[in-house]
Amino acid sequence: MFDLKSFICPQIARKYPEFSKERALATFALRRQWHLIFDDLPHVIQLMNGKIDAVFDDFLVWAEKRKLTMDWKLHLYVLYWLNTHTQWHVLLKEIHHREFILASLSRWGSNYMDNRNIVGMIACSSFLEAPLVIGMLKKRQYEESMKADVLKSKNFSFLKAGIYIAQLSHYSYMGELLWHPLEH
Amino acid sequence: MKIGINLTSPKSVSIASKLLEMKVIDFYELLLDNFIFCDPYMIRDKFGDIPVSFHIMFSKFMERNSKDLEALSVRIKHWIHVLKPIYISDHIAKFSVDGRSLIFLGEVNYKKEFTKVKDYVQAWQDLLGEKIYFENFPSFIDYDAEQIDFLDRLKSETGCGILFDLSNAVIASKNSQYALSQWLSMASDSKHFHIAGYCESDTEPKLWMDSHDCSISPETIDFFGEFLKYSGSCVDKSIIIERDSKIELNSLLLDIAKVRGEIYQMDGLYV
Repeated sequence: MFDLKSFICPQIARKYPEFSKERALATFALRRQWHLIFDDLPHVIQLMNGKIDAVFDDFLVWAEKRKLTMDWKLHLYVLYWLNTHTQWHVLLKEIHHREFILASLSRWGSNYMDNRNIVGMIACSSFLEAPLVIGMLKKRQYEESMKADVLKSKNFSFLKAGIYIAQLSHYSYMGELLWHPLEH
Repeated sequence: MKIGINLTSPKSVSIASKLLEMKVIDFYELLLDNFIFCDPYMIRDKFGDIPVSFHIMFSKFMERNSKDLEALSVRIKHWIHVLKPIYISDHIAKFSVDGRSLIFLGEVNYKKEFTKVKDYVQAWQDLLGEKIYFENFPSFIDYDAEQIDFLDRLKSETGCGILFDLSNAVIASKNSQYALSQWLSMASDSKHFHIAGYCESDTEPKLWMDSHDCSISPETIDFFGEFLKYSGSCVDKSIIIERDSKIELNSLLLDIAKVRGEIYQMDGLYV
């Protein structure tokens, strides 16, 4: 039986012979995964230029070892990994962090089938000198558009270097936030 | 046979409402995943009298924990109560492997997993209190024969229906070299259909993919005609023309005309 792990792990995909249907299928699925990660990261693509495929492969191998869920937090995991396991962290600026966080929150915000009681999500990258904190609230109305908000009014400098998320059960960023470090 | 169009998001409603004004479609199929956050009464007010069906992508009824699935079913039942859909359809697929999400869905093992799937299907129908129509999968590997047997058994042992996706059958056949005519065995009791465009991958070997981004192929239209002949009648049936991207009015009008042409040939008039 075909190994579905090949859809998210290049090492497993490469176990299938070249030019086999299984290899072609896994390759196609991995490309979808590539596009899922990078399509909304134009500045990151520009930064990594010809090295992006190697970044993609290395990340997926790391993710496979840690059995990462690959759900809406996927972009946050990539950002975490780049900052803790690669030299890219030196080159990553706020614009890159912002792209990763927005891509992750957009994926969270457009899923109405899971975590239905959580109406807002905030993600923070405190790898930067000034932590970048972005929130998103779920749509309530048919015609509404999703909107992200950069939260600047609070002081988040108490957070150690890392990626954090905080969930909201009401439609407001007011009040105390309960931060969870990204599991990895 | 009613002809409808799929609505994947509130944004796709504008073209669909034009098609409705032109009186070339009869109903909408809502991808419920992308509407379920709304108030169904508001959707009912917005759509007025137009019939709707519900298509569900990510119920993940075989993978979601039972408490959450039950809570989801309560929400869906509320939508059913308010909008009274023509049918409710869902997917039998792998949405994750070892708890890790897949963006590209996998196929179940039709031979080994029948009993497990059957139990989940039964439980999901019981939770919703409705017959659910499950869509056939656009197989990439040679699973056609196994899938046909699997779906036949599933129907007879759970009372579920099959949302027969004509283009998925064409894709499965092209990917496997399994004769497309084998799928005609499903014609006699198929009531609700999907039809869409597909594309070829740029891999080696090439694979056919269910892309929903272009016109319906002549091969699929011919298969639709053939299928209708086998099924005997168009009465009380429905077909959705699926388009998820490159949603263009003229292209959709052409697809609708092709589908309607086959129905005319079958029944002599549009029923």
